Amino acid sequence: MSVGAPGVDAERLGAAFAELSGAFEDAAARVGVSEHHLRLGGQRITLQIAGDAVASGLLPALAHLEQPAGAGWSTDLRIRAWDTAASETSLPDLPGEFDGMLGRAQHAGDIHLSFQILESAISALHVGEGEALHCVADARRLAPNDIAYPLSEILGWWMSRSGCYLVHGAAVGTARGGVLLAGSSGAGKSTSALTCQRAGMRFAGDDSVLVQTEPPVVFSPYRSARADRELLARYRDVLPRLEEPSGDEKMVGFFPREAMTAELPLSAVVLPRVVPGGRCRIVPASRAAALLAMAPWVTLHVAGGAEQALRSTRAMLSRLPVHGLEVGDDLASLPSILSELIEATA
Amino acid sequence: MSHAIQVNRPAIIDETIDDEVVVVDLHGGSYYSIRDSGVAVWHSLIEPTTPDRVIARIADQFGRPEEDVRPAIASFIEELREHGLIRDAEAPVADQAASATAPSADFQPPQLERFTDMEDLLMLDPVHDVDERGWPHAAPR
Repeated sequence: MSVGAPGVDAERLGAAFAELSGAFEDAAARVGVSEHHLRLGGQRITLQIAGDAVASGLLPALAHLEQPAGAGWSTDLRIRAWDTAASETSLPDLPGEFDGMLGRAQHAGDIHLSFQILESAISALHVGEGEALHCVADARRLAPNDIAYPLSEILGWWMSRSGCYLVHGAAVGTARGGVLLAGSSGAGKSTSALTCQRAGMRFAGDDSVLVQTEPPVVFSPYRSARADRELLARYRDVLPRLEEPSGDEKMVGFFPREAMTAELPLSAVVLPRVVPGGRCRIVPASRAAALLAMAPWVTLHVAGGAEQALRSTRAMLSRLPVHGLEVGDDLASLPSILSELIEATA
Repeated sequence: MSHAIQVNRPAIIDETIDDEVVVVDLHGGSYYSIRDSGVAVWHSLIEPTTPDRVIARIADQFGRPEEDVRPAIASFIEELREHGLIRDAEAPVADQAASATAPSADFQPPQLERFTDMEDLLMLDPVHDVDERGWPHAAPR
């Protein structure tokens, strides 16, 4: 979350950022660089990737954000990514001890740094320079989260500056608006979202979406879904590409680019709950339950402003309708139930 | 119970919505829901105060004798302390004005619910090993 460990200061993080920048230059000189232009929530992001393996690993989930290269492109944020295996480089000796930098992001001044130790990845952002770095150990063995939700730390930090927060949730909608499906794992978000996507509803993401709190809008950062194999297998018809990351009990699926909606104005927040044997229906839910569902992620992926993130989310939920959704056995009824809800609240 | 206590800022942040407080522990990764009279207790702890003053305020707010609410409120404050949501106050205790409002609805004992599903993302052990390319690895739990 957004409070750094004691003793981490801007000078130390600045030195670490400089070391990492040098490491990217070394890797780029060895394996070459490809450049990609992405647009997310109005932000223009230039992604420079050293090595084909890294590009093959990180780009699929972001492909729907790619923009054609053009002379008029100006960059808000440049992200440089590489791996140490294919480039045959090493992670630089970062100043200070690793202890205290693992497992939680560090924020000092306008520099943010996070070791994702389970993913063998490191992310860093220098806000003032509009520069970010993402290094993985071996792009041929990317962690499932780096395949399904690449660069989430950097994108979360950067977008949080403009009141957009990564949320553990899905988003579907119609021409009249959209609903955020929020809740913990197993609540029925993916089942609901995949069913609605299959039925032709607009779709902005299955598990990780970007929520702008004012005005309420959902942006689509990823066209991927990471879920149980059994669940994704049931929706193979809408997920033409499936990957099975080694050592992961879950599977990663990719939706076609054309299936994705870049943004959906939010009409309501919906909290699903699986009810085996029941029928799908809208039920009452409290705004506090919605805040509980959103609070962990909006305070996790922010550039040091967790309190503001929580306050903005509460303010958004004070204005939006919040409903529960019992996800029963008659899944075919879900698209019409949510479409009618959007129509009623738009 | 005269020592000063208050919400453990800045590690603890909170927002109140529809008579419920959502609390996030930014260091530990847990998050919490506080309901019923716990909401009033929590709001009393935003500024430095003492447990006795909190109990007096709650008794006044709900129109109940202090001895009626003391066990539940004292236990709740201890629970908040055990979870690190409050700490000893460093600043002098501020005088709190007596409530001038009509008593609130029926007194319901404070409720604290804890959620821990995010803790694993934040509570990794320090590095115990570094591979040949400099990558740290977490120690087994």
